[in-house]
Amino acid sequence: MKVIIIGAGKVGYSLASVLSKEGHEVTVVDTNRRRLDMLAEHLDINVVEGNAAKVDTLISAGVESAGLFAATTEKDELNMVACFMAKQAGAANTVARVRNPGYSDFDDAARLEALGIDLIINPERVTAEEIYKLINHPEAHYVGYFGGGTVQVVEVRIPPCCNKQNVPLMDLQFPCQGLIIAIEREGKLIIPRGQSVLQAGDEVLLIANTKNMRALESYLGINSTKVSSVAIMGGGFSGYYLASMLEQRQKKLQIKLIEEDYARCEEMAQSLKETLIINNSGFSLQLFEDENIAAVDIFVALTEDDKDNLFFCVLAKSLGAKKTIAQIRGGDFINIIEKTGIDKAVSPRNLTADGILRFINRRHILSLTRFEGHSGQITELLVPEQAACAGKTLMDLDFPEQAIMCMIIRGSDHIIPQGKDVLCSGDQVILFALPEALNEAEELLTAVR
Amino acid sequence: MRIQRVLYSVGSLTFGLGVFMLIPFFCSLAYGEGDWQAFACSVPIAWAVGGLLLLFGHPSRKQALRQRESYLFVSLSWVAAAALGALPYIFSGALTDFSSAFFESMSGFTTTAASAIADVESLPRGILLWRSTTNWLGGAGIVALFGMLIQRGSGSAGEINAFKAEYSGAALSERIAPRIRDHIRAICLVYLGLTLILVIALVLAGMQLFDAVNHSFSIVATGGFSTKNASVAWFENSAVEWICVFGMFAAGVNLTLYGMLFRRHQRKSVLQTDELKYYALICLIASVLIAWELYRSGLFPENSFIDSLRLASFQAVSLLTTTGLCSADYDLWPQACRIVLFLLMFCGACSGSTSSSIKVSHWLIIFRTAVAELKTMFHPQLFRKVFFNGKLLSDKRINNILVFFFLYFLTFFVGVILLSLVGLDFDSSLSGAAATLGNVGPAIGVIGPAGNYSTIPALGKWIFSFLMLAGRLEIMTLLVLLVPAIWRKN
Repeated sequence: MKVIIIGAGKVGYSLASVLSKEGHEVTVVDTNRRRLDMLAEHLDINVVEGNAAKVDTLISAGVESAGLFAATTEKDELNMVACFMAKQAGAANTVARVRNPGYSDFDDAARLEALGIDLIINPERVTAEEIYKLINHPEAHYVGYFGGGTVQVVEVRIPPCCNKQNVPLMDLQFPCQGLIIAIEREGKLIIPRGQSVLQAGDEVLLIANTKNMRALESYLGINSTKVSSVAIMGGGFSGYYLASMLEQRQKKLQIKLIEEDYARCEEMAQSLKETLIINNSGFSLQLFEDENIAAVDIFVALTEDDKDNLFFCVLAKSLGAKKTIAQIRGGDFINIIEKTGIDKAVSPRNLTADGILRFINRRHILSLTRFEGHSGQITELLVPEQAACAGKTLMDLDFPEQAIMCMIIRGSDHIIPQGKDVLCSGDQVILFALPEALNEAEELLTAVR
Repeated sequence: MRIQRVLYSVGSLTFGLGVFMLIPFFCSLAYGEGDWQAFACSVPIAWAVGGLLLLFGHPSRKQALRQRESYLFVSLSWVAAAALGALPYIFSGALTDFSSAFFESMSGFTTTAASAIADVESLPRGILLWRSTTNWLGGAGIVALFGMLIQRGSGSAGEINAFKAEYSGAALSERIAPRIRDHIRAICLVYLGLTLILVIALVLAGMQLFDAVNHSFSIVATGGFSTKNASVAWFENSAVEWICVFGMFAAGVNLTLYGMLFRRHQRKSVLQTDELKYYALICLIASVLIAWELYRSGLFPENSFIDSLRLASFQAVSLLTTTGLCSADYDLWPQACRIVLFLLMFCGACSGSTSSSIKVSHWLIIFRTAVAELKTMFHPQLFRKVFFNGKLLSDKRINNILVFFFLYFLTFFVGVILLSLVGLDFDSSLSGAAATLGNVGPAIGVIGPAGNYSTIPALGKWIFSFLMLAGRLEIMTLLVLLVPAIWRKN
């Protein structure tokens, strides 16, 4: 597929990198020559210098045959105008990165269509949503929803108190339908078999019905911690989104939002009615004591500056905050940050790229790079009409070793697949795989007779 | 400050006042009473004064009124209106000295309705109607009525400010029309509509048309002038009393809200106004509290609880909306009732209504500011959030209200001291200052619902007149004139 990416910033780079590695023809458009040169040096892509709001530039980038047009610059208006023109020129799918809540909050499909935008992606909002999921599920390091929200995948750590240690998995009697998809132990990824056992300290990936997940977790000895207070450092768009999502939560919690800029405090105070907005830069131990950050359940650092976020989280953690989440926007060290004691690092640009990819091929990329240095991926697939695999039992399918079928959604039924289960057309299959096995597994399930 | 320009505006306004004096003039003629001569003398004087001022200010007519000039314009307009409005009382012989007549007129325009006339029932109908008409005009706002309705085009900064200075809480409520003149027109329509509905309701309940018109005028304006010495109690008609309760309550609602009900895109925000909710709540709580105390005391064994409730809610709503009509002599009620009623004088109705005193919105905002401020005691860096009608208030707006609150009580204290120096007793000086500054009217004791202000010495009447004007213009418009810098040429 031909892909045009507007903007060679962090999001553009991230997206170009993933798409070009998947084998797409990527062209990046930007006005900054040096940024473009840097990209061209690292990635196998084509670059075009020019203003993306000009038709000439878009045509020279090949917009008329583009399968995906993604405008990812910092400027909302430019992104929207570029998408509008690209759609006019014949781009199949357009994605605009829009940060301003005023533009991105409208979900009126007709209006979006009039603007020629197929998907609005808001990195700050996506970041806030990700953190919101983690706050709702504080014991997890990753939370994902599939099958329209009915199926949940979480990554959790097996605690020392778990009494199911060293019991073969086939002997475990789960209280509900559920599956252990993968185990990470000492930096190694294990796709579990019947004889595998769990050990304290294992990171496991669980899949279950959203409403049953708690039961499954407590069966494994994982207790959900109660969250009653959240402190957010930094009142940018993402901090604002997170606070307003938390305010709308059914179970009320105490929310503190610390922001340096007085005018921004005032702006946010217009709509954040319950949040305690504190006007301070945060660089003061006095503030941490006054606001009793030591006692908060979750501390989130969402300032513009990655270094500050790291600093605040380390400080909060050392004072006693139960869980700390840092936003890391740039750099390539995101994967080792969680080794510093910070519980979770969230990368807006990865989430944005993920969102765009999900839009074009329904593929979820987990940031589980620790699995032997590879990203595990979770994909939702639809078994097509007249599929070659339909009517066969799973045993008869020659499924690759590095892939595992996690769940079959058939109508309202959720089935944990067993060897004797039969696939049908119209089934929705949730698949976990390492990248090298992903294409093979996908092929098996979607090939038509 | 360009005095000439200010006087030009005042002149056009006095000219307008003369026109409105024709209403009681024709009324007298229709009833064939002798007081038409009083108006026949007063109208030409008003026009002559207006004409002279217009002539004097004529060279400056093309200059736009500045903001600083608007304060003097508004204050002078009210003084001029009160002075000219006093003429019919003197010419008809209803009042003989000017200080009493000025007091009566000021009391009418400021919708206070504290009367210096001992026996109202002996007055000819023209004068009675003129009293109610001053209420009605003052409620709508004389600058708004005379100055702006006749104007064309968009208002200048000074003219808009004059409207704001006169219309309480104009800054706190939304506009129903982009141009100030259209906004005022819409509000005047609401005002007329309410008056008309009330007249019809009162006539249906059995009042004479003349009494109904007079009472409607004074209720809609939250004024309080009645055609009877005993006020509404004279009619001994519980239907009339209930209609008055609801009429006063309706007049205490922000008039802009009625206008907004007619505009589809603003209808939703009517429900979001929390002032209305608290206003209704205060009315309800005060009524039930007083009714319960009144019933429990057994002072009036012939009254059932419903009767007590009717009497209590009438007095409570009347004093809360700063109307001042009475259906009973609350001075004879138990101590607790009198205290609650006295305190209600310090609370007005909604901002944007015709009532005066410290509005519910002011109390609400001050209360919320206090709560927010207490929170910052243990969150030293907290951003203080004070909401009103779901919107965040700026520090500037809050400060303005706090300063108003302070000045209101300062004026009250100074008033009390001066009144006691003039020779008023404890009850009269305290309650009189509260009742005139709040534009309520009847106070406690000699000047209570059963008495009147006729026995107050002349100097006392001037102090009361000042307090009424200060209360009507929400203090600051008047006090800003005491700042020397405002008088500078540029």
